[in-house]
Formats: sequence, C-alpha cells, structure tokens
Amino acid sequence: MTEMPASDSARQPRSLFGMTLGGFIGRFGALFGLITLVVVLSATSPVFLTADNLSNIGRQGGVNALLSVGMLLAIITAGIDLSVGSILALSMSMLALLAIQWGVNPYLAMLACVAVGAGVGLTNGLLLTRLHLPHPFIATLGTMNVARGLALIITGASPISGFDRAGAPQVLWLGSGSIGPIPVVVLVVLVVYVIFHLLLSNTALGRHIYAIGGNAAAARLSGIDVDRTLVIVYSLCGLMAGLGALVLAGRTNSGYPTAGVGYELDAIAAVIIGGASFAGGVGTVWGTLIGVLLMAVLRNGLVLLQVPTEWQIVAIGLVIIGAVYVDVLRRRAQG
Amino acid sequence: MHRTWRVSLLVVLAALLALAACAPPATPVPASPAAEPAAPAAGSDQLDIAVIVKAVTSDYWKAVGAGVEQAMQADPTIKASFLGPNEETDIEGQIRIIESAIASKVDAIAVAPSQADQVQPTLEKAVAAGIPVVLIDTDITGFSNKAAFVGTDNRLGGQLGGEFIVAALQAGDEVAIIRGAAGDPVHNQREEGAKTAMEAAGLTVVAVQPADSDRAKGQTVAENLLTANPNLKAIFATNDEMALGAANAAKAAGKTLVIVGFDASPDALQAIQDGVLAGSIAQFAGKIGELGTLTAAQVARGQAVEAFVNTGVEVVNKDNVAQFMQ
Repeated sequence: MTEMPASDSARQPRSLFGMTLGGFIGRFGALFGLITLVVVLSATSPVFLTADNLSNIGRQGGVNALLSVGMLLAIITAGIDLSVGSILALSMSMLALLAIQWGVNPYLAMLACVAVGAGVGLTNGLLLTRLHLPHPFIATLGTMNVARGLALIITGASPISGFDRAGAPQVLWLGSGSIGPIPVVVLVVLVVYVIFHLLLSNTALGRHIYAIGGNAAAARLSGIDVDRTLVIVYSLCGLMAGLGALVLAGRTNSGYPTAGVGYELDAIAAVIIGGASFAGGVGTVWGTLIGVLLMAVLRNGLVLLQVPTEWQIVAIGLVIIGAVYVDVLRRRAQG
Repeated sequence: MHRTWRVSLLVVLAALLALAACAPPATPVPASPAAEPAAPAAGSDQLDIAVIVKAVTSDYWKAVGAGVEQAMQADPTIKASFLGPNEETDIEGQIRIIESAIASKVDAIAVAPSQADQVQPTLEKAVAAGIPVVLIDTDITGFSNKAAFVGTDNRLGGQLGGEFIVAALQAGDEVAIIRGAAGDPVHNQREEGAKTAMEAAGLTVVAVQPADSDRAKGQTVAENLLTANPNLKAIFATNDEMALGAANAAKAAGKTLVIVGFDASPDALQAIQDGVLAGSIAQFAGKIGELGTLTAAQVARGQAVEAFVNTGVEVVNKDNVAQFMQ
C-alpha cells in the first residue's frame, strides 16, 4: 500500500509520510476517542454493555458501515461521492417495487437492488471520466438528484412496505436476522471490510487507488489506467449503497423514497474521523470502521444517557471536530 | 474502447429512464397550469382564488388538491387554481408562485407556507396589494395580517393520541415520545398535546427523542429507548413513519407495546389492521383544501370568518380502520 511513484512537487514527501505513519496515527486518534467513549458509557449507563445493546449498535451502524467503506475508496482517490444516500433510496425503492408490488422472485429483486446501486455508481464513474465533468463533487451531486427523483417517481412518492406479507421474507434476513446472538448485518460488514482491506492492501487495484489520490498526474505517467480505476471505485461505491439498501430494507421491512437523506454526510464523517484525508492518498478500512463505530456508539450512548436532544446534535458535531483535530495535532507533532 | 464506454453510459441512462417510464404515474400536473393568469372577473361575481401548497407531488398534497376541486363544485362561482413547487424544500419556488398570483391580481390567496420566516414577507406584499391571505395546513403565528388559519389542530391531535394511550395503560406506566425534527412547530404541538394528556393521567414520560419523521431513524431511536427503559409500555410518535419504525424495533425486541402514530397513512392503516400499530391520528387533507378554498372565497367577498377553522382530527384504531382504508 506504500507504493507510490517518487516524484516532484513540494507537497509530495509530506503526503508520502502522511500515508504511512500519519495514516497509522490518524487511526490511533479516533481509536482513543472510541475507547474513551466506551469506558465513559460503560461506567455511566448500566445497559450500555449488555448483549442486546451491543447488537443494537451493530444494527444501527451497519448501513453507515457499508456506505462508508465505499466512500473510503472515493476519498482515497481524492474524490467524493455525494450520491450514496440517494442511490440507497433508489435501490431500496426498486427492491420494494419488484418484490412487493410486482411479486418478482425475492432473490431476483435483491439482485436488482444491488445492481441498481452498482449501475448508478458506474454512471458516476463514466460521467467523471468520459464526460470529463471537472470534479466528482459535480457528477455525484447530479446523480444524487437524479436518483432521488427516480426513487420518488417509481414509488409514487409513498413508502412500499411489507416484504413478509408479500411473501418475500427472505429480504428481511440481512437487515433483521441474526445468527446466534450476532446480527447478520454485523457479519456482512465484517466480510465486506476484510474483502476491501485485501483489495486495498494486496492488489494492484488497491495500489492504483492510493497512487491516484497521492498524485493523479504521476500515477498516469507511471502507466496506471486512472480512468478505469476511477470507474471501478465509483461502481464499488454505488454497489455498497445498493448493499446498504438491502440491509435497510430488511431492517425497516419497507422501501421508501425518502430514505438515506444525509447518509452521505455520515459516511464522509466516519471516513474522515477514521484518519482519511480529503487531499487523497490516505485512509484505511479499519480506521473507517473505527469512525463508523465512534458515530454509532455516540448516537446510541447519548440516548441511553438521556441527553436532551438539542445537546445530542451539538455533541455529535463537537466529536467530529474533536476526533479530526486530535488527528491533526498528532500529525503535526510527528511532521 | 472509448465508443464502448460511451455506449454503455447511454445504455445505463436509457435503462434508468425506461425504469422510470414503466413505473406507475406518480405526479399528475396541478389541477390548473401554474402560469395561468387570472382573467379579470368580467363584471361577474366570479372569484379567482390561488391555492398554493408546499409541493404538488405527494399523496398528502394531492388529497388537499382534491378538496379544492370539491370546493369548486360546491360553489361554482369559485375558480381556484391549485399550485405549488415540486418539492417542499423549494421555498424560493413557492415565493415565485405567490408573487405571480399577486401580479395577476387574484381575489384571494390560500397558502400552506413552506417556511414561515421566508414566506411571510411575500404574504405581507399580497396583503399590502389588497389581496387577502388565508393560511392553510401550516400556521404562521407571527403573521397577524392573515385573514384566517384553516387546518388541523395538532395539539388536539396529540392530546387524542395521548388519551388513547392513557386508556390502554395504568397510572405510573412508562411511555416515550418520538417526534419529528427538533424545532418543527407542528411536531412541537403534537408532542405537547400528547405529553400533557399522558402526564395529567399519571403516566411517566421517560423520554422525548427526535427522529426527523424518518422510519429508519425512528427504529434506531426506539431500539435505544427500549434498551434504556426496559419497562416502557407505550410510544407516541408524531408521524406514522416513526411509529412504524418503532413497531419494527418492538417486534425485534420481542416486546408488545402500545404504539400510536399520526397521519393515518396507508402503511399505518395496514399496520393497524394487522395489529402492529395500536392507532394513528387521522387529519383530513381534503377538508383542508376544501375549507381553505371556501374560507378564502368568503374573505374575498368581505364576509366574516373564524380566525381558526378546525378541519378536524380523529383517532383511527382497530375498530374503525376499515372505513379509513376505503
């Protein structure tokens, strides 16, 4: 994962450094925050460390975990994907439309749900690399609106609910099922994270993703097919949104077009808390997982502690700022 | 190679469009076209009324529009146009529509303001131009020049929801409230109505948490509430989406709770019939459109009207759900 074309600009050595040691330290800052939070909550709330509550946290963080690991790839390439929340709504609406209203085979409907996600992601990648839209912010801002609009259109702007009643209870398993005491979604997240970890650290594609974020021009000069890599990155990002849709549909027993509003911001926050940088070239799967956990534990804990709602919103904002600032401080101390 | 990519991009876009095309038609055009200028009432007592809502795209606003049609049938001298932007968040769009209604010198405006602060200055302009303004659905309490407010008594709705829960529980039982976005005045009123009724009957309201009117958020909040308060007996949610989320959470936790929502949405009615939700508070969107239009007509004719025209709320439960499902 440290392979990067040695080159030119003044920023280069710093970003090279940030990627190796800084990346590790960035992870450590968020981990410190997570441990502190867990210790405080265990001490103050009698129910925090119960099996039921931990499984709740797993279920509640699952969708964000899936969206975040896709977002991580985009952010490592110095890009961003604003469309994941809307893709999730479109995929979920499609799933409900097919499985509940049209009575399509549930497994086909689930496949279509994930395929719609990957398809919109692919479109993002092509808009970026073939139409040469100037920044992924623009391409994905466009598809964010298109996907949300399509979700409203295909559902007639109303929720479509009741997979179990429509004879498609299989859809519920990913979002609501559990194996022993462990929610299925937690296992799905773990498998996905291991796959993404292997992809980023053990494959040529992973090295290319980091290289593009470090310096796209240099990556191109060194023979990396930047466009192809970006198309794959945004397709994977969309695919994860489709998978997230499958989980959320299973969790809520419904597909609804207003789902996922603001989820892209939660995903971006988790990735950045987890030590990635908007400048690109930096970020790890496990750091992102810590970012996801930090946000899920915080949201859960604030309700358990009965913190007044207005202050919950303030607290979440402060933790995002604080977690990233710890990271900045440590980087500065090291650099 | 480049060609292949371009072709595949087109294929994806075409597939998405095709998908959209074969879906059920969702957004009928407003009852009258937005740009229609109000013809000057040619000496007759024909009344031009602009009914401007937050959006013309959802089931709820479509029902309001149906009420406007009914008002026109009831009173043929009314010529109402039903207008609004495509999205509730398009406040600017709503302001433009109000401005064009002022410019075309309609006889009265009935408006459901998207955002009180942003829309009020434009409404003041209408009043200054001699066009009376009736607020429908959503009130602006600080707008003293309004001719009337026609809508749901949200506090009463909340109170009915609270009393429904009181009837199912015993004094001392623990209840929680899940509400819409913090600061939203409609949800403030529903919350206050329910909370006051439940506390007056001796129930303990252990928590009030916002879940932004979203099903998934409602479910998350309910899971956490059930963990923190294992003795919870009931949840009042200030809309049906959150109530349905809470019902999922209760089911997952293996608990039976009295869960009551607000709106009587199709999904909620089904859930009431299935015994998943205990009840929901129905408001009458058609009445809001109908009485809103009729009230605006009365004001335009210079007749006196009530400052608050209550369009009614009703508790839907297992016994009367069938009549709401038609």
